[in-house]
Amino acid sequence: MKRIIEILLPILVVSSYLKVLSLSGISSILMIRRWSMAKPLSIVFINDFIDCLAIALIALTVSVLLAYRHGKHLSLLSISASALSLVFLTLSLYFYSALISLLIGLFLTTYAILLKKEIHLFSLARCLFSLLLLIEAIGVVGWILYILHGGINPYTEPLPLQDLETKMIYSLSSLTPILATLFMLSTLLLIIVKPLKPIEGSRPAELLDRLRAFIKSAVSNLSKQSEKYGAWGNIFLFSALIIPVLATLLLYTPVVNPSNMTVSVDILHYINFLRRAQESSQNDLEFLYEVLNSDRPLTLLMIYSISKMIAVDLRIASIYLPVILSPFFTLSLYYLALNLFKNKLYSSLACFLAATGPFTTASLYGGFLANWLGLSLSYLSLAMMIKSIEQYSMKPLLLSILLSILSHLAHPVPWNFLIAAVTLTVLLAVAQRNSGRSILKFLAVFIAVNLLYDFIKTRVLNFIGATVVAESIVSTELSPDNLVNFWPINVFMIYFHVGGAFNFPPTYIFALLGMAVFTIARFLKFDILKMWVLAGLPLYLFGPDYVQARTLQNIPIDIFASGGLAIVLEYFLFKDKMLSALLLISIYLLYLNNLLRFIVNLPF
Amino acid sequence: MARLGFKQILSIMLVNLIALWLTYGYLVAANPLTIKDVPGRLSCRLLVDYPEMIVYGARFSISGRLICEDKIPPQLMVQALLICGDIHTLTVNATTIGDDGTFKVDLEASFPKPSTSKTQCGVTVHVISKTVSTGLIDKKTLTMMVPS
Repeated sequence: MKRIIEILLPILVVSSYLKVLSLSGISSILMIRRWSMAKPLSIVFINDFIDCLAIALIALTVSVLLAYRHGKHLSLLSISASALSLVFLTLSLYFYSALISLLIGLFLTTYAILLKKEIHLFSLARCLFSLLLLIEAIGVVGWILYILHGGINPYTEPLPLQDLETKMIYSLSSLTPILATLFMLSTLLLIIVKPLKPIEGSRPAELLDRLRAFIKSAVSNLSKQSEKYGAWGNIFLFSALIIPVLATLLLYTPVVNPSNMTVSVDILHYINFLRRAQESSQNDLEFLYEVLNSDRPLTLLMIYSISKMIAVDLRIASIYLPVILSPFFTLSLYYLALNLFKNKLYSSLACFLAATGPFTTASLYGGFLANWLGLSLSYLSLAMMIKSIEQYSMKPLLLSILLSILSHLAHPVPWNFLIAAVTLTVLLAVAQRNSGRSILKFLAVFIAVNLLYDFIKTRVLNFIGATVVAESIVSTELSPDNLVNFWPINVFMIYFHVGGAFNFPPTYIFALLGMAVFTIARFLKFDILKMWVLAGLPLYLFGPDYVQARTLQNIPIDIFASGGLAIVLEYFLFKDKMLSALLLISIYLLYLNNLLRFIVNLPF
Repeated sequence: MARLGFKQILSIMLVNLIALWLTYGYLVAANPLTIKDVPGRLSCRLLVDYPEMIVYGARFSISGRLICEDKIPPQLMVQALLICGDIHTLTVNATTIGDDGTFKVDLEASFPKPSTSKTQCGVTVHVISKTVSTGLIDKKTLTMMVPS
């Protein structure tokens, strides 16, 4: 009987939640074949009456089972509420019927776990994760069938399998602007709440100390438990390397892209620039000068060289460039995460979250090729810097400086973030007086050489460079008006900008958790990541939608997300290994669904 | 007995302000219940007049009319997209629909000159509201002449 309750309760909560969502008439903005459309989150399994009847009967069954075991007044109350749900159903008040069933589900879950200890939280979580995993797996099957079959409506053809998963995720989409903003504000919030400490010896202080102790021990022992899950690490890393490559290739297949349109917006600018430079240059030297006078010469030269080397036109070279850029980004992120976590599983997980999450989907929509390359080089540079600090060695520092200069040549924005983050870290370390002088010297050398390089490029040689671009953004794009209108701008950015690529709540939930973990487990390397986020805060608060989006694109949010998931997984590994495996599979399928949903709907 | 200092009071005030601001953001701007106010499929017909032929480098217009069963909904716009030739790049322009349902969108090919003297272009006209598609769409294939 206990087992039946454990299985029925998650089914009751999930199905009644979906039905309440459906019957309330709530919509969300979905990109369907390139167009952002308001789509009602309606879910009908058979029809509204039968769906609600089944849910009400499940509620009644669980209530009766609990009343049979405990016979208390509270169980009898839930039986009465279930009966009321059936009455509403007969009156065709489906919404109220489903709402009562949902409330009963939540009440009985609390009752059975906390009050009666009838079922164990982890047993229930196992059933809940299995159910979510099933929905995610059905979604993936739906997208794969669509890719094999094609059609007009990606959500209903050939079977509407993917519809349920999409609506479930999009039901949380209204939280995304709040979660993303909270994440961006989190570093500032941590500074604000610092003076608020619980009274020593009080219950909150005790709980906080226990949490701190757990996180500190989990972070310092990350490698021990999870190293047993090496196979998972390999799966995540391999998938992160291969899936975006397949996605790029899929984007130009007749099933996904029947009109063979160029899906990535900025690619046109790369092609136009290179064609203009070719036409206006008399020789290779002049062409090189033209390219060097842009703010992203390395990327442009890369496209041009590939186009010449394999004798394809500039469009083909540009649209398939993510086939190279994405694995390179994955490897640099892996190297950085490995230097941070010293753990293969969580480093691979960070790569997978980036390869299938908002970073990649936004990059594919926008064609942010230079940003992709620039951020990869910035991450590698940061990884080398962390290595040089840990080893007190100049060699990795020199490599780090070289990589940062290459990042400057690839795209100005990631370089600006890197320099701002390192500068803020130095200021923080000086203010707190908690870092060795040699570490500060390393960081100061890094900043000084980079600024000198930018000064020579932009002020002496008069080329366009990162600080010039930063100055231009700050002076022309940032304004207090944007802060006054922050919410409409932010909601527009999340729902519509780059096809709503940033509208994926799980990333921000995990990242917020990661921020808490990195704050409690205090290391200089985590401080650099936090300062990276802080550097983006003025842009996020005072910028228009595309500046906000570019900020989200250029912060290492997936490392934070992986850090957040790491602590949950470590806890599960400690308590219930089965649950950690279920969580890992669910995460894999959840993110895979996100990428598949996006690329299928990217072209007209 | 612990006492609250200036720092603690300031901290509590700031945390509360940020919490209020986030709550306002959720309830007013990102509230899922407000999204359903965006119009779904309208009970309207879209009539579009296309030019017979278009010429690369020359501006042209697409005009038309939205005929609705009831009043023309406010804040509607028409967005026209032009996709031509082998490069498949987009040219987009938009205009507001008048109170009488009429509209006129000007377009001009702003992509690299095609290498052929004649190419096929796809024009798609969407009716949108607050940047959300209403589902009213009209499409036509036009021939574009490319002057030498």
